[in-house]
Amino acid sequence: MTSPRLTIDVWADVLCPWCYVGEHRLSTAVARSPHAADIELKIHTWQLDPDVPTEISWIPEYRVRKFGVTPAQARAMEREVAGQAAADGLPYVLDRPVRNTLDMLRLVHLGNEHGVGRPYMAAMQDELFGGNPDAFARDTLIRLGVNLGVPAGEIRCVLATDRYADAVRTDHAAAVALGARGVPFTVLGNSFAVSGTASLAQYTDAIDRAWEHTHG
Amino acid sequence: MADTPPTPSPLEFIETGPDGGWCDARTGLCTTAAGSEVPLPEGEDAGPQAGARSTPSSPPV
Repeated sequence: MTSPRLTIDVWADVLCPWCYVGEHRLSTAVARSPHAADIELKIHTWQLDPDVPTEISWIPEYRVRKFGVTPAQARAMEREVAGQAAADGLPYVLDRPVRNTLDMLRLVHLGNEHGVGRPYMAAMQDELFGGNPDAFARDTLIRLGVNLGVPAGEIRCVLATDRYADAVRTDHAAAVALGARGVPFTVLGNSFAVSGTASLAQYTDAIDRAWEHTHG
Repeated sequence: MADTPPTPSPLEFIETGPDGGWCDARTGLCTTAAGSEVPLPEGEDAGPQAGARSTPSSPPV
């Protein structure tokens, strides 16, 4: 495989709704680029809220508890991103589970070792935002990884240890050093950054600009 | 092989438009770039960014 001629680094968390929408838009923009074959997308992890409990709760009640809003307000917080997800043809279930994502993010790093970190996170997000109540379950995470070629034994080993926890912290620190204040955070060609989710047209333009900048 | 994040260097931040949003690491709030954000209850100090509606276009100072 030849070296990619444009690298796009993306920081994201599984439970971040804008990361889910952004992943699909950016992937589409890359796929449609005339330079698609020479672009490499790399996923990096960013744990948006390390204080989320390890026990499962549900998004509306989680938001009520975390932000002190009413249940109606909690749902309103979701509806706008749900609307944009729907406009992009993405399923988006409001009543979905939530729990601490450190285990998932550690598995994304395992996925990166096998060259499938990005699709692994995308598969986790598809399960979560698609409404699977068992999106965080160990069996689900194993199934998703195995589907991508990650050995089940390695997934179980990661889940049984704290392996890759340092990698999650290192990724976070690297993003902060680059100026990230939230996610998704996208760096194109180590020259341009998009903080947050952009439209498909803006991702396309950003790719073109980064390509021009890199290859002049 | 571990994926190495890019090294810090001056980045040009590209503005995002109304069809996007982001999740603020400090507040945990996920907001649309053009849409509304549910206000926090009165008296809750969410800091100066709590009412921000647009995604940041530059790194923090």
